[in-house]
Amino acid sequence: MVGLNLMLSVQGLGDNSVEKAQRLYARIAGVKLNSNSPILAEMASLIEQKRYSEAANKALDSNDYYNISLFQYFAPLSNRAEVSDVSLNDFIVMGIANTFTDPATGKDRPYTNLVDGDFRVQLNNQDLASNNNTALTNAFNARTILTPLNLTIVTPQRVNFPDAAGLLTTRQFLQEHATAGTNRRLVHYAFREFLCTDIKEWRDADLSISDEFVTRDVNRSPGGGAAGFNQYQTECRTCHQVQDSLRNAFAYHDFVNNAPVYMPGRVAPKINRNIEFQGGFVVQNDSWENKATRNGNANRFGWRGPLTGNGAKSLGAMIAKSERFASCAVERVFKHVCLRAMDSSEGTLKQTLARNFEADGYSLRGLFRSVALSPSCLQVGE
Amino acid sequence: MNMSSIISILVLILLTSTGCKIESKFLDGIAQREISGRGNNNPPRVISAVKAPLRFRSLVESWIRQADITNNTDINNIYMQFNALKNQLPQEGTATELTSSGFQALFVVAGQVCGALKNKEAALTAQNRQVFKNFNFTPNATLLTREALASDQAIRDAANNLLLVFVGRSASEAEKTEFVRAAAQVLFGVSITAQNNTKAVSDIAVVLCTAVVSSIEAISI
Repeated sequence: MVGLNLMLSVQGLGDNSVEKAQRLYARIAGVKLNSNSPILAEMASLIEQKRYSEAANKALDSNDYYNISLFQYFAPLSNRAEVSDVSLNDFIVMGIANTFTDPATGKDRPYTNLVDGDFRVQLNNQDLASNNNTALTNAFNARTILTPLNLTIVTPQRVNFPDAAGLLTTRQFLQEHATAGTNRRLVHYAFREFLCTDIKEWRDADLSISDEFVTRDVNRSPGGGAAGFNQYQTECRTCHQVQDSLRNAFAYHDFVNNAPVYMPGRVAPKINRNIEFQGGFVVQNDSWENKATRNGNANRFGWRGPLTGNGAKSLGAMIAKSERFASCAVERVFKHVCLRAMDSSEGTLKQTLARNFEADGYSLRGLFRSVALSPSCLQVGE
Repeated sequence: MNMSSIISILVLILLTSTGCKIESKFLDGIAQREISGRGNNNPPRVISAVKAPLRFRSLVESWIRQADITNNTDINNIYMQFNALKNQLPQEGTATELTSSGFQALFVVAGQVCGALKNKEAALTAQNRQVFKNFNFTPNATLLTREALASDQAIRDAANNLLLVFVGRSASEAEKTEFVRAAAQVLFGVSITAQNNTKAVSDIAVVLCTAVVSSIEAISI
């Protein structure tokens, strides 16, 4: 059979202003536009005038930025498999809504709200149901464009709920990580999504670590015998000590009958139910203590606030205050916009972007702009 | 199976049968960067940015915007096709996701987009069209040659317009010539009659469009 031979030649990154505008828009807003699009013409004109930030702002002000780009930014953080192929959920829409400019102040809301903020969203002035995701699924299937007009931030997150921790206490995050189990996964994934580090990295492998917070459900001799005892000493407790001590922050949280549950003063029964070792720690309340402060963890996280507290909100505040929180956001935005991970030679750039992000009030829009216009990324300003 | 699916599969067969392969050089290239300026006084600076495939919803939304598809039924049909095949399409935006099955999925969804584009354009007067300006989508019974339905010049113009819309650049002369040759191949062995001439011109439009829309250059940012 004779066939087509229409493979187009592969072009490098374009250098003219329209091509730069297309690249800047597509990377920030997540969509390639028709090259006759008026917004590209406006951006190209600004680029020609070397008004790069204003050009970037055109993309940041677009509905595509919120509905396509930020959807794809937050979607993997919202689920255990960390995939983009999910429907809209409250975690994602709260992330998007928090990025809208605050109409009360005219400023961007801080990204730190995502881990310690007390807020919820309403869609078309209606609260989202606590026990299903129907409204958002319907909106997603109808390709509803989310804007500050139909997606609004209100407080509090829930009635009679003093322990709101931004996205960490959303229905979606609790459904993913507090369903059954023992709530350890809430800590595991809070650190994965907002500190960009897995428990395998931040476990404390220094065998001088104590184990007073390791609870009763952890077998001290898995598999039995001396080998099991050694496994506990050299492996199990190196994760459990640092994780269990923080897990207490979620002691009063659960996800039951498809809805988040908060039981002030009452530890979720599942946490202390299993007993493998009678002498293990018993969770009595939601007071937590950060034991991930030694050796490499000190530099890894750069803790800058209280290392003890009560409840998820204070844990979220500790996460937000860390140096790692900002640099994690930088890494995520950089990969999202530049389509590659930062490499080891870009430590200075990462630090600079992170500190500027903090100084800019943790504005996610500002971070997108800074990353997109950094010379390492899109080369728009060259 | 609707018309667009049929056309997409036709394109797929034509392309794969002639060894239209992913250029490994490109796949390597989009993952590579050059770094210069290493030194105590010169912070490392990446001098070439990375290009990568559009991922997931960005891909289908880009196609819809670029083709300016606004009809809800058309958009829903595109999404139905996309949803059926999305697991084979790039989801992380990495070059390695462009597998052969990924390209097959791209062809099919791109065909759906191009079918919608063709329908939109066919309903417009020639001067109001963006791509297939001088294609005769409503031929009378006496127009029974490919040239009468879509002249060489009409195809060359369409090639240029397709690349402008979906890639953002003009077509080279060589590419325009290749499009004319390809248009002839679309109808290879087909006798154009009064009964099938409308379908013939539509097939040409959709096949040429699909080839562009599903190209690496079009799906990369």
